[in-house]
Amino acid sequence: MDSQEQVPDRSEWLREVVRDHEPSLLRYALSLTGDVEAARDAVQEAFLELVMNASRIDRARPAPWLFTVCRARAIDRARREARMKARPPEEMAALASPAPAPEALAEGREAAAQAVRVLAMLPPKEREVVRLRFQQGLSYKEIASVTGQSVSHVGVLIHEAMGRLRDLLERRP
Amino acid sequence: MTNDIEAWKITACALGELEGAEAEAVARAIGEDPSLAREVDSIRLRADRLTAILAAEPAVPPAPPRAPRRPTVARIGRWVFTPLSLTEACAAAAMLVAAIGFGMSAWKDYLLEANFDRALAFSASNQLGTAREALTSAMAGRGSDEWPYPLLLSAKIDVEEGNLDEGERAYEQLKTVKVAEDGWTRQHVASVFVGLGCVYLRRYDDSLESGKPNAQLLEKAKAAFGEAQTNDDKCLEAGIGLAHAALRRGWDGSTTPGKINPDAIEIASKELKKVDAAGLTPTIDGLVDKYMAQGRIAYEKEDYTGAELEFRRAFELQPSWKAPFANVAFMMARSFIASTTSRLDEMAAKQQEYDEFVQRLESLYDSDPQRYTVFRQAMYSVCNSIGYAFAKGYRLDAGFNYLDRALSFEGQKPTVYINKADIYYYYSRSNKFEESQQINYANCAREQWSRAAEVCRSSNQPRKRFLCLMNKAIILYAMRPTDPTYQEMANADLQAIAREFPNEPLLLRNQGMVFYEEGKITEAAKAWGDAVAAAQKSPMSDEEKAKFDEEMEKLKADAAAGK
Repeated sequence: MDSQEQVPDRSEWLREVVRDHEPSLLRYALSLTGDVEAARDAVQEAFLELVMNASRIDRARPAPWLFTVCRARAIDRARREARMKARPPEEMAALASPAPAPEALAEGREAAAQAVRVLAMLPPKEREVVRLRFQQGLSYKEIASVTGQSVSHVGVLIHEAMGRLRDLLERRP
Repeated sequence: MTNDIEAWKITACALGELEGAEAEAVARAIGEDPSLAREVDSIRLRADRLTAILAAEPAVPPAPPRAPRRPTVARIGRWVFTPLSLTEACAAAAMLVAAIGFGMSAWKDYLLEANFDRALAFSASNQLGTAREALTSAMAGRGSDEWPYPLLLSAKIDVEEGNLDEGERAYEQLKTVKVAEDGWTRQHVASVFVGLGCVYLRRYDDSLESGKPNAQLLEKAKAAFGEAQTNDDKCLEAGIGLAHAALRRGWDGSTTPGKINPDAIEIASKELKKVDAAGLTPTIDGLVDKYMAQGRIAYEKEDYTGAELEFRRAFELQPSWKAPFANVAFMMARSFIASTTSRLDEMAAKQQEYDEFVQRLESLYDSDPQRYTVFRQAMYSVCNSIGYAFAKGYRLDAGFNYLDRALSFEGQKPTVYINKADIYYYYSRSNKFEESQQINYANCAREQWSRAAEVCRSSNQPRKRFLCLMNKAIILYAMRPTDPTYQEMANADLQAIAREFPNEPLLLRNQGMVFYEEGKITEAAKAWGDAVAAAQKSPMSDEEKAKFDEEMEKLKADAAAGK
């Protein structure tokens, strides 16, 4: 296939990938860097590498590759900067969803707060695999490939996290 | 199989993560044990609930819309003080790079825009390799003839990476872009000329380093900066470039302050005053260039405190540039005068500061070698300068410790060995030592020149290798010209050099001197005659040839007079 035929197809695919995965990648990168700007940079770099390696990536399922690269870039940045920045108030405000109805707003806030509480109960390694499994829908194998751990270790981490969250998750909402 | 492993496999099975025989075995165990079946149900319930909860986690907002980009100037003029050697103490290197302007309005594609953005960001933080990769992707998405901005950035990166031909070609191509096409303004045109001025300055520096300064390149740089000012009278970087050009024009390769042409300092100062008078603030990079030029002027006026302050300002603004860093260190070391006791004491008192400085460079480099590649050269320069100064001040161990560290940063350069040899040579001539110690130091110098010559061979620097071998050949002979042992050693060494470098005037001159001391007058006269003839055919400048002839005439006259 020559490049002229490939470009529109590839561009469309890239747009879809960005649209589908940018929010989850940002959340994931933020959980690793603790800094919104650093997370955005890590995600940008992951997309940039995606562009450059598009021909070598499984187009049907780019998520594992993207999360792997994003993780590496986020960790690079976190190490490099080696500091946690306090989020400015205006940035915290921007985290809320735009203008839902009042009831939905209250419910949404409670749900968001609960998600934060749940994740806060977990040690970092468990938190990361739980996110990848239950938020991003990656399989154990894919998580192992993203985090560089063995599949069985991923299994143990998820099992322990599920046990740790038992009381909270079995309580009636 | 332990209980733990069984437990995690039950969770995995509940989540559908087991396959094949393993899945079947665990499913069978679950089917046979009602308590396990209940646990599986519980896990699935928790998993569903967890998925729902995590879906409500607040999203990270996308990046805020970018403010419209204004044309910005990206960089630089820099002086790098290189370590001392016998005949040269410091060198200046400058690089002014282009102004980059943007007209992003026509560029809608997210990824292409992101590529270009990343290229800019990486370039601004000196990650040139990564910037180049991003830029290549951006340029592949849109032809450079269609959109000049990536080419402008590409030219800048080329110049920064030392690909001057590529950079110049790109700038020449950009000169053909018409104002008003694709948002191209006179400011962009000015940026192109600033970039070209930088290329010429770099070329001039190269010519200076090769020992053949090409004044025409300075004139071209000056003209380019002038053209930039014509196109944009608010292009402060052009004025700063002119100041750098003026300082180079005045630089005659001398090593000590005060030798620069005072007119050049005045011209540079005037250009910088014009920049101040414009009432505008240059870009960050422009400011760094300005401080670097001001530092150089202060240095030339022997205001070392002022120079250090200016270089510090520059490096505070651009901590990833090596030149300000290295120059601050150089000013701290001030090694060219460190042989005086007061300076040396001051240096010794500051040793901890130097160590911290080098440590800071090292830790930055270790944190991100790709980004801080340039710091290897900076660490090398700092250690080399400080080491030379300490050693020259008879603190041999401390000095050589620094020189060895310098070697660890840039082992492929002969300068450290040359400096070590120079120190030993200096000791061999010093009255502080007994004659036997002097001879010992001379032998040490020979060894270091040998090593330097080997590095020169592997790094393809024949002229430097020749000089190293020459120094090695004659150091002992020069101490005791009438000693037959040293005459013999010198003769053997010179003949070996002659085989590798036939018809070198300096070699023939020295051979003649050894012959003369040995009483071989005829041979001496022939060697000197050959030396004069070889000088005429050598690539020496006319001035150098005249000087050599004059020296040879004096040598012959002294010989004739029996001196």
